[in-house]
Order: sequence, then structure tokens, then C-alpha cells
Amino acid sequence: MPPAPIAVDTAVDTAVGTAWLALRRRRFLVGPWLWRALAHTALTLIVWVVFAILLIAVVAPFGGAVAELSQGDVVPAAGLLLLGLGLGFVLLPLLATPLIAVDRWRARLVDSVTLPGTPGVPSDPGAWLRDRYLTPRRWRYAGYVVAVLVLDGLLLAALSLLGTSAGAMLAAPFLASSDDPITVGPWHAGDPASALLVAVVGLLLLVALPYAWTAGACLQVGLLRRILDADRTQRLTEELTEVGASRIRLVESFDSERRRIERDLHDGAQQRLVTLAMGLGVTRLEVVEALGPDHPAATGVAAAHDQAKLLMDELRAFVRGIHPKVLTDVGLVAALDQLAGALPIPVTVTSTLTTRPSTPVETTAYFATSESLTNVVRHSGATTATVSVTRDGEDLVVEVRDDGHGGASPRPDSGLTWMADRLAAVGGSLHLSSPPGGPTVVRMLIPGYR
Amino acid sequence: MTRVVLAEDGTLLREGLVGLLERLGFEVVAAVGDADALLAAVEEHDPDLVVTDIRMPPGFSDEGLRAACRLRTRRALPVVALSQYVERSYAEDLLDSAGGRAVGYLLKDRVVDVAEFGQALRTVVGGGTVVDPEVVRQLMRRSDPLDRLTEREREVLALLAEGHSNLAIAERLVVTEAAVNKHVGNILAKLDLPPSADSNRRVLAVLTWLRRHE
Repeated sequence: MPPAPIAVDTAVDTAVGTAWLALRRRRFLVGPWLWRALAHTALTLIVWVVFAILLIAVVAPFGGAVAELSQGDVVPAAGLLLLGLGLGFVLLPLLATPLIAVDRWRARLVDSVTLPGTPGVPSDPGAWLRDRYLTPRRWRYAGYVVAVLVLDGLLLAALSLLGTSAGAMLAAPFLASSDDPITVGPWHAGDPASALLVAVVGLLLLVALPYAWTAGACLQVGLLRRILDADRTQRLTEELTEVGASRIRLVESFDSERRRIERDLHDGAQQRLVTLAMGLGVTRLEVVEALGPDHPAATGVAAAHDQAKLLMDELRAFVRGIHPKVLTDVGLVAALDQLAGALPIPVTVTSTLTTRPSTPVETTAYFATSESLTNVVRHSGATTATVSVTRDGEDLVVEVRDDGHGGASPRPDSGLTWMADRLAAVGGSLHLSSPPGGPTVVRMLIPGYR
Repeated sequence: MTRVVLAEDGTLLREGLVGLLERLGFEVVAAVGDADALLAAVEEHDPDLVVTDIRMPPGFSDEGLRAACRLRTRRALPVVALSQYVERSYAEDLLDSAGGRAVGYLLKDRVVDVAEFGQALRTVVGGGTVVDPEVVRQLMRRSDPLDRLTEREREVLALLAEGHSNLAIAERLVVTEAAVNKHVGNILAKLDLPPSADSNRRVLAVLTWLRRHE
């Protein structure tokens, strides 16, 4: 899900999008946000009462039974208590979903930035049960339910206290007389002057009241946002891990597809072509013997034979580019040997490997080295190059060194960038050292050598 | 007539090779498709020459090579192994068998140069050694002491390694046989190898020397 843009309700207040921001502005008391926060708080009261009733309905009989039993026998009382706790344990994750849905919905009253959504619920019963009770997410939600019920309880109590105090203090001048003094907290109003003072404090409390309920509402929405954000971060982490794994699978399936194409070409077209060229070779002999080498038929067959041989070479080079057979059959070092042998400059391949790495490691190493050697031949101006293949723990290390003029740098569409991408796809890395004047050293690390 | 057992798993190519061998004057007594059948056919027919693909079923790795080496443990049965690609260890294993006599290691594609292929087979039947020029080329690339040889001497050495006689080399390079004799003498001297009249031994000497200096 893309991050939601900040939605601003222009009809209400063009400047801010949340009650929390409005709270810090001077015009808060004449703006719409305090009323929206009040509506939120009113809904909090309703939700809290509903939940409290539910809770009392479930807990009260248990509490009564436990209280009764614990007078006589402790064991059934403890059992009943455990049963009650177990029931709460089972119910909490179930209650969390509707509560969070309601809270998400009413959060819009004080915060126009959309909250992250909750994940969908699997329809398969087994998966549903696992999702409800075995995922950290659901227990985070359950924790939210407990926290929010306590928080809202305290908030509602504090607001009631603040509201009634303010009311009583404001009424002080009308109610107080020297015969019948009024006491509100530390304030003692026994005469009209002090009653007026109390009334002023009451007025201040009244003004503070909207700030209090707005802050309370924002606190609750902030808590919900934290819970849902944590959830989103966790999901993103999971998705990223999965993306990494699928990237490796993609590269590997790409490689195995290349091997399949190579095999098909080898068993099909290549074999047919060799047979054809061989037949032409025999015919060439026959024709030359029968008609002499200068007869048009002889030169024609000779030309066809040569063409077939050229095509064979081209197809062989093409197939080697797709996936060299020797890499599958014998291994990385033999394949690099063959590759080096086909290059126009002398390339020495050395290896200290004692065992063959896995196919994906070998394939990655081969194609990255191949690309590296192509660069050496094309761009470095080198007269010789060396390839060393070694093992470093669980990494296969291939180092390509040439005696060229250096100054290689990875441009976006260059072979070096392609190599770095290819290595990164399997969690490997590429290190380049190419000072002007040379030499150029390309060091490739491929993990997964076990 | 030289009696041949042929082992090649590709049906099409096997049929083609049978036709080619017969055209070249060999008698194909058995044409089989895997290593076990090759061993059985040799047991049954006792041929004068075995031509085998290196890569064959069931494992499609080096079954043909293993079978060839096994055949050569008792006697130097002439064997020509055909390989899809140059693999030094294959060449070395073959040359190590039966003292390196009567053995050939060729790239599969060489079969299309019909006359040369026939010549290579006859060389092996006659107890000679034939190594694919590509193998020699790759081995020579990695050996710095060969830098001491001139370009022409390297050409001669490559042809030597392929099992050609001095006369054949002279014809190829369009020079006199005496000139080739001189080149060979120089090569052997430069590589600290004692001169020998046996071309086969020269090939082995060259390859042994190359292997030692890899």
C-alpha cells in the first residue's frame, strides 16, 4: 500500500490536518478541532462503557463464584480463576479486531492522516486460528485493547473530575456565603472576594478542559498509530526478505533455463549440424575423387562444406555464451580455462579450490568472470591477464587482474554495473581497483560456498 | 580391414559416423550408445580400434573416457576419444593410459574434416598419438618458457603434438623436410629434450613437459 498523502479538510481548517497540530495554535479555541476531539471523546465514552459492561458481564459471575468458593475450598476457586483468565485470553484477540476497526474509524475525527490498514484475515479455518492466536501482531492488538481500556478509563475519570471541578468553582460566587463556605480542592471560598477568585480559577479550568480532551484523544490515536505502524514495519520487513529470496530464485531459474536451452541445442541443432557437415565432407571427397578438385560440382560442395563448418563454429560460440557445457560437466575452473583459451590475449587461470561449489555459485562466478574478461579485452589495452579462484570461508573469491591502462569506472550501462547487479542478486559483491595507468583488479565475492 | 567399435549416444550422429567410417575404409563391427554397451561390444568383437564419445549415458559426464581407460589397462587397445570441448584432465587421463601409445583425443567437430579425421584414426591404429590442436594450443598458451621458441618453431611443435611426421609437417608448412628436421632439433634443444627418432615419443615428451610446467 503506498503511503497515504496528507489529506487536508479545506472546509474546516486550511492550515492543519490534525488536532494535535491545532492544539498548539492560538486559534484552537475558536477552531473546529476541539469539537471534533469532543466528538471523539464522546465516542470513547460510549466504547468504554460498552466494553466495561461486556467485561463486567463476563467477569462479575466469575468474581462472585470465585469469592464464594474461596471461602471454603481454594482449589475449585483457583480453577475457576484460571478458567476466567483463559477465557479472557481467548476473547482478547477476538475483541481486538472490532475495537481497532472502530478506533481507526473514529481516529479520523482528530487526525486526517489515514492510519495504516489492518491485514486481511485468512478464510481457511486453520490459517485463521494461527493468524488469530500465533502471530505477534494479534497479541500486539490484544495489548492495545488492555492499554486503551485503562488509558480511556483514566482519561474519562480525569475529564469528569476536571469538568465537575470547573463547574463547581464557577458556581462558587452564587453558592458561597460566609455561613456556608465552599471548598474545592485547596481553595476555600467563604467570602465573595475569595469566591470570585475560585470562580476565576474555575474559568481557567474550563478553558483547560478542551485542551485536555483534545490531548487525550490525540494520545489515544497516537497509541493506535504506533501499534499499526509497528505492524506495517514488520510486514515490510517480511516482504523485503521475500523479495530478496524471490530475486535469488529468479536468477537461479534464469540460469537453469539457460542450461536447458544449451542442452536442447546440443542434443538437437548442434548434432544435426555436425552430421550434415560430416555428410558434406564425405560428398566432397567423393566428388573430388570422381570429377577432380576443379570441377564446379566439387567447388560447390567444398563451399557448402566450409559454410557448414563456419556455422558449426558460430553455433558452438553461441551455445558457449548461453551456458558452456564444460561448466556443467567439469566445473568452474575448466570452464574458465576454456574461456581463457578462446581470448585474443594470454590469460592464466589459477585455482586453489579442492571441491566444486554449488551450481548457482559456479554459474554466477563464471558469467561475472566472463564479463570481466570481455572488459579486459575490449577496454583495458592489456597484453596479459590472470584469473585467480580461491575460497575464503563460505565465499568464493574470483580475482581478475590485467596489465592494462586502468581508469575503469562503473557507468550505469557498463559491464561492471551488470556484474555488480548480478553478484548483488545472490548476495555477493564486486570490488574494483583501477588507478589511471593500471593495473586493474576486479575482485568478486560470491557467498554460499559450502 | 580395420575393425572398429563405435560408441556415441546421439542416434543421428552415430549413424552418420558409421557411414563416414565405412567410407573411410573401416569396418564398423558394433555401434553402441552407452559405456556399458561399449565394454560388452569390445569384449565380444575384439576390435582393432575404438572410437568413443567421452560424454555418454547414464551420467552424461565422462563415462566414455572411463570406459576407454578401463579398456586400455590390459593392452594398448587403440582408442580415439571425441570430446565436446577441450578438457585438459581428459587428455591427460588418456595419455596416462597404456603408456600413451595408440591413443587420440579429438574435439568432436573434427569429424567433419573427413580426410584429416581418417588420417588421425590411422595414426592411432598404427600406435601413434593424436592430440587435438586446440588442446595443444591451450596448453602452449599458458607456458612461458615456450616464449623461447620462434613463431615457426611453435607451429612445428603444434604439428608435432598432433602426431605428424617431419615429412607431413614439411608438406603442410611448404618447406623442405630438412628445414623441419632443423626446427625439431632446435625445439628439442631449447626445451632441454634429447632428440629422438620416434615421433610418438616426441609428442609424449612435449606433453609431459607442458604438463610439468603448467
